[in-house]
Amino acid sequence: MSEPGETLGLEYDFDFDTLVAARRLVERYAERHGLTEADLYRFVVAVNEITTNAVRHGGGGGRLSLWQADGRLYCRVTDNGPGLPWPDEPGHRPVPPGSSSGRGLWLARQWVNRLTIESDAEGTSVTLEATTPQSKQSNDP
Amino acid sequence: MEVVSVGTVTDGLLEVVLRGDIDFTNAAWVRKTVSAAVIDQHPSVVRIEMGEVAFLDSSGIGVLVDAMKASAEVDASFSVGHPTPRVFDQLRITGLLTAFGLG
Repeated sequence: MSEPGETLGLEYDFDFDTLVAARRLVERYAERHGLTEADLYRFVVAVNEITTNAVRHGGGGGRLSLWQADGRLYCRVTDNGPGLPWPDEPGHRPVPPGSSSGRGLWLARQWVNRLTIESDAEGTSVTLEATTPQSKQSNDP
Repeated sequence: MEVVSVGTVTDGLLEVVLRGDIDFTNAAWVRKTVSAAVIDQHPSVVRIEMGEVAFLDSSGIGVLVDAMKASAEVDASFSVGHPTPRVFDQLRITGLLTAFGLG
């Protein structure tokens, strides 16, 4: 059921033991689809924060899906955790320097074009979007 | 090689070297190792060498913050040394450059 211009990607189920493998997979996929250097690092960091949240708060793991459409790279992370009461709220402000935690979603939001969170009692789904260099340079299809 | 190596205090300086990927899967252990060394050795200066850290997540950033707090507990100064440009960028965006002696 892919839209025109959409490249079918891949899916991967992860938990604590495969968090690093999931990160490597995201890195390879993003690199293959045009992200390099700082852009690549930022996308991998952002996705890793969301997969880590799924392990920590979303029932111990989840599924990540990667795909490309219209010069953009997408990653969706879904979990079957208890959900977030106010999914639009967290991660919009930096935490104070003395705080030991709470930077993950802030960092993820800063480092992708768009981050959307959908959440209900069945779980949480976070979609991250990055622009690949080709589409930065040109709007041609 | 281990992701964390802790030296012994020399002229008041405790140097901690971090390497590779510091993330949620090893953060608890790295935190414990670093904070325990700071509290046990009572240095006057703590420096975390980051030049070989290839990947850092928010859990790893938390480890650095906790090392800073442990240093404050023993009245030691605290700094982070030689982060790669990517990690520097990460510490900038999380507002920690000044606190880590990089600003």
